[in-house]
Amino acid sequence: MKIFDLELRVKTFGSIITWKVFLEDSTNDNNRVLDWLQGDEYRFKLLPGYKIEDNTLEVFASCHGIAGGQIICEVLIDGKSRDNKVVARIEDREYAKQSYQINQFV
Amino acid sequence: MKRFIVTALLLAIRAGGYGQVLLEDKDGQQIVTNFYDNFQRSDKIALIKLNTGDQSIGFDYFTSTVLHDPANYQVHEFGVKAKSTEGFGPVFTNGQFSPGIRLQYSFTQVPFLKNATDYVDWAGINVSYDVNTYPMYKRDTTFEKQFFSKSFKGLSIYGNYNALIKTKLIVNLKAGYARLNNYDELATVNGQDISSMIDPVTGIERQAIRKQSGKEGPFDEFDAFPLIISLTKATPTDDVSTTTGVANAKKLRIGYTVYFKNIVTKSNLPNTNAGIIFFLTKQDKNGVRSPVFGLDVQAADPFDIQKSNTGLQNRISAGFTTIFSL
Repeated sequence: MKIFDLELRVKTFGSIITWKVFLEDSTNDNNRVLDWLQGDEYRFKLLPGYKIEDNTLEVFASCHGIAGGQIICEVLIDGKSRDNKVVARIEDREYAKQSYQINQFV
Repeated sequence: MKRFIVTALLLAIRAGGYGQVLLEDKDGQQIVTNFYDNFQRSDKIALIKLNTGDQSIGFDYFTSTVLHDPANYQVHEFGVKAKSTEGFGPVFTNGQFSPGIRLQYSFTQVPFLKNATDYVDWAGINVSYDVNTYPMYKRDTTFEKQFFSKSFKGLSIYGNYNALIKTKLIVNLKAGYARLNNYDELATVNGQDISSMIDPVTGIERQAIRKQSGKEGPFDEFDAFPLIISLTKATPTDDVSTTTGVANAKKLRIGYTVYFKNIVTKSNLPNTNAGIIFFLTKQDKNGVRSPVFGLDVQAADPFDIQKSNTGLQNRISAGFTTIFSL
């Protein structure tokens, strides 16, 4: 089990009507991230002491809206931003996904 | 009556992009309700709306629950709109101001039934209350009572259903009840009160002229059941991660809304309007394309259901509409 401080930052580009971010399992609605906070340039969610069973955190995202739009989800683990952001485009038919190895930080 | 209204717009307070489309037709009826993309940057929005068609200025405030769940939220809209019921012509020429005010509340659920790549929908209810004062003229009465004011209060309740189909087309369906009147259809009478006096010293005659106007004819209030259907071609966002996309993002793009309005009443023939709103959109740094302005061309009674036989070209009118964010 890994425990770390997780922060998600979501920035939208274009006309987005709805969007979703899941942690670990995109088929389980209980894993959907809710109750976001509004920042100046993005929405964010703080999850201090987040636990995962294995060494890999998986983040899924999707969005719906007018053509050309996208959402970009930046993942910060223990306060450090990861380079590989989750980019979900409106035209995507499946969830955009990124995996993050945790063991190098703990 | 053929009219073409061109009024200078207050291109002043535009701070940030709000609204892919939030347009009203020439009668001040909100045709398209599809600006919920904006709640992805703020959960509260304030807008000023100007419409040269019905010569009104409005203020709208929106608040939403989008922060709790961006994929399933509710929007509350509070609006107030003010205008001169006679238009601003009499205000400038006669100093005559007949106030009209509309208070509005709406509730919208996003999404309503479906939330998928090819189809996202939203729906809600809208309640508004109009209080208008109309200047009237009646020739067969005592002199001092010929020009008088008539007050009107009307409640409207609409349901609306909206869907974004294949990420570009927006369909809106709006239907409900409205308390309306026939004021706009009455003929305008312009009156001049002239009082004269002669200066006994110089013998000069002076005339003081006071102008006023009102509408003449039988004023009727009635229950109506409006139905509005519209189809909007939205303008896509240009991807600024490519060189071509950066160049395209600077361009204005043209979108349009085609709409059809039908108002059924018990006592009168159906009142039908069809129109098209062309709008130019500009992309902001967040990728949102917002209308710079819209041009609304409306044909009243395009199928001549009312048997006026005046020729379609004489039933066409146009006006500009736009919005500004606060």
